[in-house]
Amino acid sequence: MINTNNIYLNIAPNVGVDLLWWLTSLFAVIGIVYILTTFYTKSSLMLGIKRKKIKKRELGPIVSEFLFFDENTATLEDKNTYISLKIQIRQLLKNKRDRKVLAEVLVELSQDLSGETLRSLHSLYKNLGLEKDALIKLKSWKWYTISQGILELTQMKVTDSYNQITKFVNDRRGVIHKQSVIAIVSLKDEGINYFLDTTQHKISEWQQLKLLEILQNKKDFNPPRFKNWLFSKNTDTVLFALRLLKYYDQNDGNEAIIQLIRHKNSLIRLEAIQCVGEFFLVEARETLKNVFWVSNNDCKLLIIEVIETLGFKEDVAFLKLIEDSKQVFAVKNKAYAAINGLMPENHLKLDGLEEISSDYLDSLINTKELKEKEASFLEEKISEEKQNNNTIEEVENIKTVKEPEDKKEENINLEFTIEDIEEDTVKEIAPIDDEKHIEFIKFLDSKNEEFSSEIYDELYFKQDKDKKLELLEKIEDTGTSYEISLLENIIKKETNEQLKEKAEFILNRISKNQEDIIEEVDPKIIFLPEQTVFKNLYENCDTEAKLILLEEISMLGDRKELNFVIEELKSSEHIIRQKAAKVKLILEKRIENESIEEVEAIIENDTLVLPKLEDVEFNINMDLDSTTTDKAVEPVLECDENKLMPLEYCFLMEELEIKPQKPFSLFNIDFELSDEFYTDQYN
Amino acid sequence: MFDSDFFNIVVNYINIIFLMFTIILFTGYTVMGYLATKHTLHYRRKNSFGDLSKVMASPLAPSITIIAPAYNEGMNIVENVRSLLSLNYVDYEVMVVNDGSKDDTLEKMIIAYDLVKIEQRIDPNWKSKPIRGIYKSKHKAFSKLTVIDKENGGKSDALNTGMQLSSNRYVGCIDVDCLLLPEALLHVVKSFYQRSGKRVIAVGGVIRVANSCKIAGGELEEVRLPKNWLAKFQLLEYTRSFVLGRMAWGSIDSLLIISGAFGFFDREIAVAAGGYDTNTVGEDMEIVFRMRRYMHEKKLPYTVEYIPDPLCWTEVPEEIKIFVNQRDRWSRGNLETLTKHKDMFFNPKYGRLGMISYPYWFFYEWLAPLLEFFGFLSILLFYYLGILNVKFFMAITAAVFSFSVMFSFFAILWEVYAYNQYKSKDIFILMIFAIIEPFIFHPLVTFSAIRGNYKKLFKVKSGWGTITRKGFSKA
Amino acid sequence: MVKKRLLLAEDDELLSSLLKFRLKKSGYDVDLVVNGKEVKEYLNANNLPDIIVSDIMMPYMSGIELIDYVRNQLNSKLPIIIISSAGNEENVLSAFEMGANDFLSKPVSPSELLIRVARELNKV
Repeated sequence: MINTNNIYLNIAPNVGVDLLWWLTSLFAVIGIVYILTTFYTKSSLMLGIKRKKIKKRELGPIVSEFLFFDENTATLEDKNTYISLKIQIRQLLKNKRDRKVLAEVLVELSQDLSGETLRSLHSLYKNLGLEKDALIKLKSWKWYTISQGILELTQMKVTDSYNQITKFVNDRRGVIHKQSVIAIVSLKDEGINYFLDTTQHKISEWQQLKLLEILQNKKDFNPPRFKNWLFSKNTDTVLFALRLLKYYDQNDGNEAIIQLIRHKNSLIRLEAIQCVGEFFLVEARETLKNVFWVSNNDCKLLIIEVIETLGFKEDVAFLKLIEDSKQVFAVKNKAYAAINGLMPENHLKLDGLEEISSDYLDSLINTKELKEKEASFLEEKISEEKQNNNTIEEVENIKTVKEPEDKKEENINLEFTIEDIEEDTVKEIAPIDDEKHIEFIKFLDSKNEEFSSEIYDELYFKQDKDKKLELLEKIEDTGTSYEISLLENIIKKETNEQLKEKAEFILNRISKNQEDIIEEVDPKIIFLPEQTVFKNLYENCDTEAKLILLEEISMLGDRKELNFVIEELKSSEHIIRQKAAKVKLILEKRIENESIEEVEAIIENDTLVLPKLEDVEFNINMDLDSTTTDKAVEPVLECDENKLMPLEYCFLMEELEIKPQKPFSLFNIDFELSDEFYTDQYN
Repeated sequence: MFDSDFFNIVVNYINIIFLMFTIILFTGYTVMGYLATKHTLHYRRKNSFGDLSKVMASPLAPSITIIAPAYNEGMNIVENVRSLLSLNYVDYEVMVVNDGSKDDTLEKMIIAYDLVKIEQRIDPNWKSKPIRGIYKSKHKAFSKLTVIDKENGGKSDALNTGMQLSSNRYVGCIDVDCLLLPEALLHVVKSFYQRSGKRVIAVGGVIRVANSCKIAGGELEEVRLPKNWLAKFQLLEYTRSFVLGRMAWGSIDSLLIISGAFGFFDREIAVAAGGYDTNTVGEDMEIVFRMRRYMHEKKLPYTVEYIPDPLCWTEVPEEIKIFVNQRDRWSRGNLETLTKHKDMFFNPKYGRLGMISYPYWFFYEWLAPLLEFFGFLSILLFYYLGILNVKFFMAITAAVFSFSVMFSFFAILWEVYAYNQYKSKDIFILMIFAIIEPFIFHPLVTFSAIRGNYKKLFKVKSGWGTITRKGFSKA
Repeated sequence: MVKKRLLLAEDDELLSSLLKFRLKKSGYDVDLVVNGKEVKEYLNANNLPDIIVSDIMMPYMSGIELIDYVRNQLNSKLPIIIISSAGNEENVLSAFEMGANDFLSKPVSPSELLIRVARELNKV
């Protein structure tokens, strides 16, 4: 055993062993040095702190004495101490180290003091000639010393050093150029101009933050027009200028801001968009919308926010588009919130109108496709395919007729629909070809085919959770009073909490929207069945206004106004009675003439079968938003070639006073309409 | 005697390998010490100017969300949150994510802060565990607080939830039980904001040991040396790793780990890189790997900053069992992360990250304990076989020992220079602990690492080593 | 005329000595303490001062705790003026809730402080 061991010891890597022992002793020595250094450092640190403390304690009162010395109020004794202190401090100043401590004391105090005392502190610093030391520091080659010098001069407000510091603004060394910028901006008001004009360096966010803070603290600061730097070569300068522009509310750079929305730097883009919101730059809307599609998510969110701030209801279409397009959830959600923000009361109404515009046309365009998938439906309708195509043409005709007549006092929503059809027909229609959608269409169809509510309850409850959610979401988007009973049932029967909550939420919203609509009905959309609009107005006004109203009635009125006018014949005022008589004659004449016209026919029907005003309005909404395919297909089933006019177009035409083209059988259309109303209403 | 040549060669090679490894280790640590020194000096000088507090109210200051995941924290949650709500910063939000606690964590917060459930639409493609509710306080004083109640999914999942629900520019991931100094966020913002050429994607900081310190009303009143021996060793270890290690890695922009107790991220990048990995116990390391890779692959200039100021204080485990479990988990996390990103190993595509940082982690954080362990075994074996080269063994042991003690002393020196928070007597005690550390504390660490590796490498494959940990322990 | 006694609690030595000097010059009897502990000791050992001027951030006891102590433990209504550092508005609010009479923010203007002190003392 011993033997072998010896052998291996002999062959062992002796070099390694020696080296290792040598290293061991080296480390041991260094270790001991470290121990000593540690304790030395510790004690010298403590000592340094202590010594400084003592020195400061000594200097503090002297400084106080100087700062608060007032020639006028000082007693003789005060003056004597003051003079002796002066001598003492002169003595002190000869020592370099003491001078340093004194400067430190003053700098430290300057951070905690303000007002008159601070000013006398600054002049004391200069009087003692301490700035000379700081200026010498600027000539050093150590970045650390230079920065310290600059800092000291800044804090003691040595304005004379401004020119000497400006040369450091484009210094290579980071700390120096940052420090010098802060110095020149705080020393003189024009410092910011010089900086923005000359800086070639990037400006870090931190630096911007500090500079703004300095500017904020300046009294009576008159900021330059920051638009001058919006096209600087240094992108950071542009960014900072934008921020300053925003902060100081300078609204003279609007055009530049709009251009900067397209800047390739995303931070500048974001900032510019924020400015749009801040300054309410309505003219930037189109640019925003264009930039949206090529932006990152942060930018998108901001654009939506700003569009909401600008508050144009027309932009809802754009937001809707975002909500329907492929975006991350946060963006969609924001768009959704913005739509609600823009149209809190009107959401459903507009929603619905838009829905037809796309869905209806959708169905027209995709009829073929749809039919391929809906086999059962298809069988009944193969023969009518041609007619469908016909419809498209007709609608197109109507559109062209309508266009020039836009000037008429139309309902905004309807106008919107038309525009939508015009612009969006081809490109912006949501794809409809997936199975789920078809399923949903069937589901919606069901209610127009006089299905009782149980049937679509059943339809709903058959689905799995995801589908249910999807359906609910669809209802949320398009929902009307129809869905109320379904939603109520869901709330009653649904076991899944999430779905239940959702249903409750939608129900609340729908019923709220319904109420809103009722309140908001525009009487001009539909011909009023029972009450005349004039009555309310009339009752509350004076004689002259009444006469004007009667005049209006004579021009616009019809049958229901007639009754009203007849009542007015009993008016207490002579002049009104006279006018009423005249109007009555005109009206009677008109009613006779119009009795064959389609409009009159509706009224005729109205009096018999049409429900109350708000219900009519309901129906319109329902039709507009809920039904999709049946709009195009359903009428086809029952009408002949000539009666393909869908419901909403009938209304549109009435509204716009467009006479349908020739071969229309008016009476039949009438009939169609009221029939629709019936089925819809009691479904 | 015929196989003596063979033994001779084998023993020789083994010795040479050990020697090389040791020399590289010495060199590596020396370079590390040098870098740390240089950087510390530079940092201290650079930051001797300027006052942070004035900036906090600036309109340009960014918004920050602090995400504090809480699992069964009912004991201290109310005080901890209160301390988080009183930081010196204007635009920040504290988001406490209750990760399906089984105790009364949520109830306590609801009562203490008068919380009510609010409505918020949630992404239908939500990846994390379902959210049960989002709460805000009715009181204006607590308007910074948001509490999220979700189903249990582990720390990573809780952090991801917070990250996705936050809309602020930066998110901070912290342990709810650690103490942040009031100015912490100011330092963080400064670190994020002071770079101009590169995007700062993450900011990490020092974790200091709070055991036995005097803390009152959420504020650190007096720094004291821990009374517990294990905590003392850990203090020494933390000093080495934060004052020297991370400082050095930070100085060459190769920091690969940000402590889960105090880490801040650029939310956009963190989310784009995929957030925290829910399948690893080393999520705090893994996310930095992934974010760095993301930036590398996108070829975007970026950096990870490290703040050496003592801003975050936490209690370290004082019981051996908890400590071993913690280290066991760390080494598993380490292994998982390294395996997941193994294609970075000496991959020049990732620059310093692939050529220096990753190999360092591989050789010295992961392999070293294993080598030590097997080296120890082979020494025993060699001794038993009678072929132990005692001379060499003695020499190398002495060298390694003296080096490690020296390195600890160096760290203590910097601790004194940089912070100077402990008394001379305490420093002396720390030095003694540095001398005995290789005999007591170090074997414990090695043992934990071996256990972690063993668990990961063998039990996972046999099928019952899935992560059962759903809560999260400290540090 | 009896000199009014003023307690100044401020941890920055330079600033406190300067303020003390200024206040003394205006005829106040100024006692200086540098941290919360000393404040408590002072208040327990001596008669209550006529007015307290305190920094809001102090070691061992914050200005707010000080107000709480004076108002609720000592049951005194003596005027308290708080000096707060910039951007600490929330703390100032809670200081007022606790019963502070006035506040000044850093950087401090000594002449302003004199005005406030005189105003509070005149109210009593």
